[in-house]
Amino acid sequence: MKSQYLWAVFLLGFFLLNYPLFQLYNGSAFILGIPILYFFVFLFLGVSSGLTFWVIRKTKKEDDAK
Amino acid sequence: MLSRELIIGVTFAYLAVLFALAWYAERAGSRGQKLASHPWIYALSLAVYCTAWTFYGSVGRAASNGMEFMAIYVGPCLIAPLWWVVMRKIIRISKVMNISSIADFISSRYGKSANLGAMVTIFCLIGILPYVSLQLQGITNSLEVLQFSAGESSSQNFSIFSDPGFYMALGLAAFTILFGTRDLDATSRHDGLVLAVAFESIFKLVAFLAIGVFVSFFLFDGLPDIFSKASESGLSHLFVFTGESGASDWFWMGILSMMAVLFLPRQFQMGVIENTSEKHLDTAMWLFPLYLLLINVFVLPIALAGLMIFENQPVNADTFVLAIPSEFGKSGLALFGYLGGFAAATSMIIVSAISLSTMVSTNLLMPVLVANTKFQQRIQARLPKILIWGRRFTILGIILLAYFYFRALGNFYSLVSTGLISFVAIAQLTPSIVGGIFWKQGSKSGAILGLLVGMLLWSFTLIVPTLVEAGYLGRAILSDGLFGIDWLRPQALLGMTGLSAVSHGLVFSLFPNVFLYILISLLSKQSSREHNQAILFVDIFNHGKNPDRSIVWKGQASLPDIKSLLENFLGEKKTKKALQEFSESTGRDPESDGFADPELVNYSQRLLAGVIGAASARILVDSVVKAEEISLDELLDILKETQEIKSLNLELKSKSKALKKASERLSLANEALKLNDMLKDEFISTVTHEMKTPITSIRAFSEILLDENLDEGDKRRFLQIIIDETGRMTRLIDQVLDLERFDSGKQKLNMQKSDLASLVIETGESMTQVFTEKGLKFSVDLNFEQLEMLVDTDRIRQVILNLLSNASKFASSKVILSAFENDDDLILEVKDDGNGIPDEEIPYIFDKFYQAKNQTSKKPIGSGLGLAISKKIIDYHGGTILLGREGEMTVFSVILPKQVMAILNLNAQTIDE
Repeated sequence: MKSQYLWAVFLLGFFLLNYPLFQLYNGSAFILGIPILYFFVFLFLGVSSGLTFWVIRKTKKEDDAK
Repeated sequence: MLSRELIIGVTFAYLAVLFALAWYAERAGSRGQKLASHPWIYALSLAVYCTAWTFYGSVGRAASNGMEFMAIYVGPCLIAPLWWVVMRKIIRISKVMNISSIADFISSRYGKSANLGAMVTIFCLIGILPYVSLQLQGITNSLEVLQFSAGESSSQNFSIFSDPGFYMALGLAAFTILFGTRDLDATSRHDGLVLAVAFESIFKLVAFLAIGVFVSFFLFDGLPDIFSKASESGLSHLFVFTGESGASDWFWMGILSMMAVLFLPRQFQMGVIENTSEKHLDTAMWLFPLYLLLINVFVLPIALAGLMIFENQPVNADTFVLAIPSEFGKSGLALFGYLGGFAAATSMIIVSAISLSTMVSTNLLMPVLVANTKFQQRIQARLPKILIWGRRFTILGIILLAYFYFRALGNFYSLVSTGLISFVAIAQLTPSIVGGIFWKQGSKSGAILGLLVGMLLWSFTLIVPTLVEAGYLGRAILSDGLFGIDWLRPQALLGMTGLSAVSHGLVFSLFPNVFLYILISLLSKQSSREHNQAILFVDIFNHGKNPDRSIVWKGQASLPDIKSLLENFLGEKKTKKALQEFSESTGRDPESDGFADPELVNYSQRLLAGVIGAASARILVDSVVKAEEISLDELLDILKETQEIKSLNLELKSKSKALKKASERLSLANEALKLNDMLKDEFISTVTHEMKTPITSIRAFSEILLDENLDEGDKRRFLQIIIDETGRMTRLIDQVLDLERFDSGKQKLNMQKSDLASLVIETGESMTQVFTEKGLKFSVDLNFEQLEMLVDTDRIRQVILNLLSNASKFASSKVILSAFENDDDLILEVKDDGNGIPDEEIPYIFDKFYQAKNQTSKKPIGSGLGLAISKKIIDYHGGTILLGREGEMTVFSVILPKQVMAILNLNAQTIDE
């Protein structure tokens, strides 16, 4: 189960941080005074490692429950 | 301002701290305290990925290309969750097979091939050496920046012996030799080293963040301020990817860095060889990306700030990290930053030197020394010494070579492009590693050819332009192509343009590599040894802790020979312990017959592999073993037999399971049969009992009739009783027969479309006489005028009659027959105001002879079969019959589904079965 979840995190990150999706935020606009490319790249990386953390905690609990 | 002496003093002080830390960890380790086996230490040690390139080069890159520098960190962050899939397998394989480096890994996978190991080693050396030299260059440049701002001029009448960089290189070599080659066993962990690297990771992160915070919050008013000012200064092109190749470069750089973070020798050393527990990956998978994220947050702001501060000044963007604090007189901060960069560079140099030296000693030096058996036997006793000193000299050699390389060649390329060229070289290992752990058919010839072609194209597309740049080759080759052939231009193969040089080099080296690896693997035939290893690697999680048994191999060696080999390299104490472990795990004592069986031979090979590499271990063991060469066909046969036995075993297991199930079913059926038998017995005894009562009375009255002295009236009365009793018997027999037919499924219903309304009314009317005779009130109640349904009219009438006649027997004043319909069903109810049936008997009311059984004292009023038959009839119609109470009334309800036809079909089928 753990591998499937981690694969999902990988694919999600790959999708969010790659062409063509990143064309959406590869623009000259600003969010909170920060260029959106800079903003989203770091946001998505943070989300991806946060999700990994979550998956590991979740599966650890399941392992412990067994 | 900083004096030269102060800077150098601080640098060596930092090195001393590193020494102390490593020494302390080693000491604690020898006391059994494993300071370094903590998941956080593991994750931080992986941050050896961030080198001087990250520390200085990223800012330089960001100053010219904007966000593009991030691609190299996005890849590792994205691939991190998959470490659980890829790294864990590699770690498991390496631990089981005692693998000491990435070259050893590849060599071991492809039949313990010495050639392949040597090839990978040489490629890694060529690929990594410039990268190591780049780190030294980074340190020296940073020194110059600090001194420049201190007002001293450097590099006039330059001499190596007055260059602090040279002494730093020597210091690093000493550290690496001291803490990296303590043990001959290259797979053993270096606690001190790991702790030192983890410490350097924290140090460089803190230093970089400190400078980032200083620039963003002290020089400027936070990140939005930097961005808006940069925007005003016309730097907003750095906020986006521009140009055609932006998107594709981003993609290829991401892929490239994914491979690099897995397979760079230093990552392999820290991630695989120094790993103590696969569980540590759990932490590393999120902590490492987080680390990369943090260390990169301030890269773009620093670059933008630098560009604005040093506008129109000749300051190299690679040095902004130090130049900005120096410019504002924060020499302490600049010194801190310099040490951070030093930490980043040194950790990379140390770990790379160790991994490369292990590769060189086990995959280059050793195979050469043991290739000739006679020579090997002459020097065997001295081999361990040669090996460890070889490793030490290699470390020194690598670091010095890197130093001279940058002194001779450096300064032509920026930090980043040299690093990327190294990345592409390492990427060439990916097909043979990933293919090797997931694809059994991947073969040695495929790996060798793929690697060779990949490296050739790498040199052509990426190294040739470097050489041209440095002036060693003419420019013509770049513009006109090799031999003047236009489509052989190194930076535009087949006329391909529009990609950056690195992406172009990656695409044109990696794809032919992958393609050849797969094609040749499909076409060529593996040797038996190759196949053995392939199976071990791919199915590592199935072989568990005993891989020695899974290797198919015929041969025998004398135990003393094997033992002396082991003692030579492991020492007597370790050999004894290893043999003891072997006999404990197998339950056999190898000492008993003086011969080493194949399992022990494999075990010894594995032990030796940790010290001298898989290929040399094979060569050495082969020299003392009489082995019969097994052809691949033979091997496959043996494996197939094992497989067949396994599958036979499985089949047997599943069959016995089925058998068990069948016997369970059988015993259940037997139970049911027994119960049926008992019921039948009971049934027969009840029927005979029931028959006996009328027969007794018939006989008695017939005997009385034989007596002639009877008056006519009595005669008639007795004859009437006899007739009644025979009628009762006939009814009983009819009912028993009926029931038997229903029970056995022989009964056929004569289904006809008929009007239920008239059926109910007629049946009710036919009973009116009986109720009147008994003085009971009887009413019929319908809520519909006409209802056509498919029923067996006679049988339904029989049910209604039976229920009514029962009611007539028990009612005290009134009986109601009602019929009503709802959407799905027709419901018939017979209510009487009798005493009702006790609750505890309700479940048995529809059993055969229920009444008979429970009315021993009184003369039975019916046969006790009526309700049982009624239930059968209703069952046959797909309906249900229920007993309940409604106020004071006892209610029998019959529910008949209107779609009788469909249900009937179903029932008929089940009955036929």
